[in-house]
Amino acid sequence: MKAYNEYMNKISVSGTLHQRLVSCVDETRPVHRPFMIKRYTAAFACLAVMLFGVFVMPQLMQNTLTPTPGENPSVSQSGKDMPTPDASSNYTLYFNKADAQSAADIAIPGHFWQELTDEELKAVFPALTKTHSITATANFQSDKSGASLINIDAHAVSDTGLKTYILLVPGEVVLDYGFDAETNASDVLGTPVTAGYFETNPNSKGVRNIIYFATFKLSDIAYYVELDGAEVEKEALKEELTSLIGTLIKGEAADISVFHPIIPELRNDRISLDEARADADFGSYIPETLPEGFAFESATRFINQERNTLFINWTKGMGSISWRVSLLDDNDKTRITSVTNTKNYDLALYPIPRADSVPEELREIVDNPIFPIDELTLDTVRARTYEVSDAGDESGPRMRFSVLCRDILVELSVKGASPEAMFEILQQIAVLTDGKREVGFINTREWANYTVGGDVRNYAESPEKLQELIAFPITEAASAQYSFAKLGKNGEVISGYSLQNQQLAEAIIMDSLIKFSVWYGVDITTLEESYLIRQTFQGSGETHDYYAYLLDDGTAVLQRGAKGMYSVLSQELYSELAESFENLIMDTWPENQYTEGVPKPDFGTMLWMRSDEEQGYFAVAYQQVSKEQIELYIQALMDDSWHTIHDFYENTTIGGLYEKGTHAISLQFAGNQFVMYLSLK
Amino acid sequence: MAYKSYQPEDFEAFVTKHENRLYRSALAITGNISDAEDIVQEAFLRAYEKAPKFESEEHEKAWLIRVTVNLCNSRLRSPWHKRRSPLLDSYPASEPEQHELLEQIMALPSKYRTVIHLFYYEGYSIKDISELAGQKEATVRSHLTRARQKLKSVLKEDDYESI
Repeated sequence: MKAYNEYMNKISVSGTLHQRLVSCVDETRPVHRPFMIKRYTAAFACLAVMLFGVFVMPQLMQNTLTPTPGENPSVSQSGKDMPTPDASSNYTLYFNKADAQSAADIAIPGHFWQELTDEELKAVFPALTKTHSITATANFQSDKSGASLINIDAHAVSDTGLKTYILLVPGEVVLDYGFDAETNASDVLGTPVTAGYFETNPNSKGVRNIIYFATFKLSDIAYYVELDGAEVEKEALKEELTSLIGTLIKGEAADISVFHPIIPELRNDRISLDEARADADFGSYIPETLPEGFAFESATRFINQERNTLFINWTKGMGSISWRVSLLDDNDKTRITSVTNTKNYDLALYPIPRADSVPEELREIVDNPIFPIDELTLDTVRARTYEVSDAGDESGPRMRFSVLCRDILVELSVKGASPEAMFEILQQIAVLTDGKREVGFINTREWANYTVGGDVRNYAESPEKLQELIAFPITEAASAQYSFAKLGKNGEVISGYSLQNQQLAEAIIMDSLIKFSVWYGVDITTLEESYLIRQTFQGSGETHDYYAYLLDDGTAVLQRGAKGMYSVLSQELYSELAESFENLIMDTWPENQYTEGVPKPDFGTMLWMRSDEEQGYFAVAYQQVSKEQIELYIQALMDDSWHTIHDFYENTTIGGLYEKGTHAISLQFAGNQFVMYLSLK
Repeated sequence: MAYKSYQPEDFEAFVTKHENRLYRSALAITGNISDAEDIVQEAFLRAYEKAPKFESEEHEKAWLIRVTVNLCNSRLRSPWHKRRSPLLDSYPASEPEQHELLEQIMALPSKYRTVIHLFYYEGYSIKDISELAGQKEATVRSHLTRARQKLKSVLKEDDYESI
């Protein structure tokens, strides 16, 4: 192995790596970065660079900076290729080279932010709003005594599309570190400006980027500006930044008295398991039992303007179950997948290393897919499970995926628990959402959010908004229509009707939902007989299917979804449902008080008939009917002296109400089906 | 020894003393420069944060190597780690014989490369390696034997000393 040893002896760390290792303890570690302030990360990275520019850059210079007067703005770059300042320039801004970039790890308690309105933008950037398109965010720090502005970060886009980052900090910049060094500055319209640039390492395509930055102060506001782009664009970048700085200085200091922030709900609390279970928003999504041996480790409740989460961790030796409950975010929606779409989640399809085997466009979803809880199966969980056999760590199964319960996302990352055990505890969530949860649901903020289609707390903004909430048309959200069908083998529709039997449908669904226990359902297509109740919500058009059927022991049950969970249904309600179909007599055209004098349809196939003396009508339905046949039938009514009360004709739909003497006929035709209601005045 | 009490120049001396050893170990195990760089940095960070009290120089060295080996294993175990470019592309071998040996070593599974590196380059015993890698002595012995069998065609006779 002499050759091997000789080879290894020749390998040494580079100077760059050595510097990185020596300074690594000063740098931010991503795992420790507070997740609450992701937008702050960039801001403080910039501040770090700014300090570098202010304090260190001059030391790195080889040439002395000399402000140069002139007519028009121009820029130059220190170093051997530093151009001669333009004699006609109004000011010359020198960019000093930086050779390192670092960031501080700063957590800001009570941090929140708000986007600047047009009026606020004009107050903060009085001159720049005329030349650039600006978006900006004001960051605040809050405590019990109120809120104070920390900074404003903004992006200004020029006519040519260059996007400059601007940071404004009231007073002095305060960080938990600094550089002790001399400073030098260029003079821009009487304001000292310190500028610099930083060259990145070439990327995989060999392209190097340059970041130009500068800092200055107007009144009591410190400004930091930054513009980056490809090295080939550096002249345009310098010119844009120089021009922008001039505009900012001409516009004078920002007016930050325009802000009157409202402190939102903010939390970042370590809580007990009991407190987590009692949480109004997410407590119901915590399983009651865990796989054997797992013990509660920690729980954190976090709320800010972006995230609203409850995080819980259970451990067993080196194994762990991380359970994170949150509101579904728009960014999460791209990871939602049906279990039928195995390419989105089945790890068996993708050999390790997955960075090579998973197509780029599927990486995000394969890494952490989101399954609707109703669809989750044990096979799905197994498809997400992989084994690790290396020594030195927990062996056994691992998995990572999420389930979606309405708009609540439960993300789990598991080490050391079997897929069977995890599926079992996820069924507890399914129970909560399919069964008991519906009952408790009406008292929670979640339900309120669901009903108003957003965060109900937003209605507390003003008395007017509160009035909107009070007058919210809640009945529309809750209003549903029902249709029924009797199904045979393979889910074939034997007969169906869409009468307004809302009372029976709601009684059946509610009776089932209030049952605490649910069980795995069956594939409806395997049943000899079942009844489908389709619930359709007006407005949204959302539909829910419920299937009523008898178990082998004769117990009536109601199952949500064709492959969902079921709970026990009242035997009386089941009988009433079944009877409603038995009343759909399939017989010949009857002679009764309702049909007297009514032309008998001589087309199509009779689907069902129903007579209801209490309600006072007779109904009959036909299928395999054409539009032309209906038009001829209506013509026959007209020829027989029936009067049109109202009617409508659309492409494939015909309907109308017709009267003659004491008799009335209501017709509805759609598709190839035709329903006729006969009643007496 | 606690590095939080060290002055920056002391920490730099500490890094200088161990960086090449750790870097070579990480390179040998991962076979990739960027992984090795990250791992060595993480190892020094852990040393700084945990500030363990070392009983001796040897203990200090062993602790760092153990952390490095564990970090390498974690990195390689990640299902998302990328397939890497061969080490020899980054650090070409100077001699054809060296190239052939290195090529065969780098073709071994990482667990064999770990044992080979610690045994032949670092000079650790089977017992030491079992402690460093968190494996049974029999496992380490087995790995070393199998690795040597695979390398048989390029290993010289004197590499077959008794273990």
